[in-house]
Amino acid sequence: MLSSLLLFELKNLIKAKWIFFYAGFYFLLVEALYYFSIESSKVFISLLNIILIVIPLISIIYGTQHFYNSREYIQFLLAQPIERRNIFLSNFISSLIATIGGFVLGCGFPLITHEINDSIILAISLILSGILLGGIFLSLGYYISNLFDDKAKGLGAALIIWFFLCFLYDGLILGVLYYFSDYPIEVPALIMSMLNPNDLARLFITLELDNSALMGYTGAVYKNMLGTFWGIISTLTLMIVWLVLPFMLSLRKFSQKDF
Amino acid sequence: MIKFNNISKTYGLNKVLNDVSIELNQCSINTFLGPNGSGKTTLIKILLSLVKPDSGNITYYDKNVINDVSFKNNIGYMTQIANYPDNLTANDLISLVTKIRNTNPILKDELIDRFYLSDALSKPLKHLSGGTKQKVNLLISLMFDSPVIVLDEPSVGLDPQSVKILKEYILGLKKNGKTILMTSHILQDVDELSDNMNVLMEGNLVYSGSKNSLINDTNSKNLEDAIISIYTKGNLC
Repeated sequence: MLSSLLLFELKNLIKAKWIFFYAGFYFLLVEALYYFSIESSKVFISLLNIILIVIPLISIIYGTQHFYNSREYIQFLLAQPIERRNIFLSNFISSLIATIGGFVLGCGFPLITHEINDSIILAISLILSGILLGGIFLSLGYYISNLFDDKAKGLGAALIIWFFLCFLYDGLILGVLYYFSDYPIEVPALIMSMLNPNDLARLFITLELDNSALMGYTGAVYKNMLGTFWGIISTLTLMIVWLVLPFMLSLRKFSQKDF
Repeated sequence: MIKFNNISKTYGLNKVLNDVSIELNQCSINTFLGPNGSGKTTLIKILLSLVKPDSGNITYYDKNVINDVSFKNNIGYMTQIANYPDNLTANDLISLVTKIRNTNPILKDELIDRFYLSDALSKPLKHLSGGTKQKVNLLISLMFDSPVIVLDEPSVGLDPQSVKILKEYILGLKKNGKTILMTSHILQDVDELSDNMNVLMEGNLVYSGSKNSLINDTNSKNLEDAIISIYTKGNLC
């Protein structure tokens, strides 16, 4: 049953064509960066900065908006003999495939093509962090839209969370580090950066890039403590936790929600 | 056949339904009437498990059906607003619902002919007019020949010819043993179709009974006067 619902929703999203525009945007971006840059490391840094801001924004807004726009369709499905869990899963997974698919098509394939004989590991890491960030922020978007019945409030909350995690959070960490600079606060700094998926994605890539100047103070601490195989595994695990946690909370909320 | 037993529901501080009990019999058309926000749609949503009641239950042949997914196999539901994924066609939607129900939509062809839908089914839903979408909505709710039909404002958006066809069809369904539950603000529809009327005001059931009893009990000349009288005077239960 889940597969029928999933195929139906995917077919609808593919026919909406926005995925192809989204993929096209990334494709043009990657090609333009390679065209204008001499070194591929600069392409990675530029792409990383774009991915860290654009993917979270698009994913969180799409997740929130899509859920609100599907409300009547969800009500229609809820009146059919089908478990709530399957309705939520089909809606979420189809959105996940659409947003991540657009990114992989537009950014992933050209990046791998350019780096096949050069920095392939770095390219794969960048794509992987983009995929995880997309999933995390989509999951957050779904949680927000399940939490607020009012669309305007939901979209507002989504934008605030995006702005906080992508911009304000690092400022707060820097403030804390500056304020407590006389104390050994590496471990608290590490814990604080674990609480932000955006920081985790940045660190995941910069650990691969080996460019500590770009990492900021928290990144440097992270590299020192987790710049190993197990460090990378821990970072990925934390990102997966960041994806699964809001997803599980949304599923729970959806199962109890009044429509 | 279907019993709503002491249903109460509160949204925040707003009590939407207050200890409502209603019984619906087989071969009958039952209307839920009331001003906007009186709790009609919430009651239907509770029947369909779209909304969870704070207290009370609903039984279908004495079996509690709150949160019973399989019970929905017995219901054909027409939503108030037809808003489906609009890049797909009505045919896609019909095939999805048929897969979900795993039942042959035995009345599909008959309904397509009756509502002149054959040309519309292969077009993306976004290209259909509001009225045609509403007919697709009707088609999906009726095509499985379900024993219980729930229609939330069924004639809204339909042209007069389709409304006439729909009314005839609903009366035919009753003759065939269906239990029909509908909400409507259009008193002419209620007058022509309804066997039992349930009037809700601010979440309370203020009248439940036949149309003629309502007219007699309120000393009114017709249904319109009776409804206005009950809206202004309040409880007759």
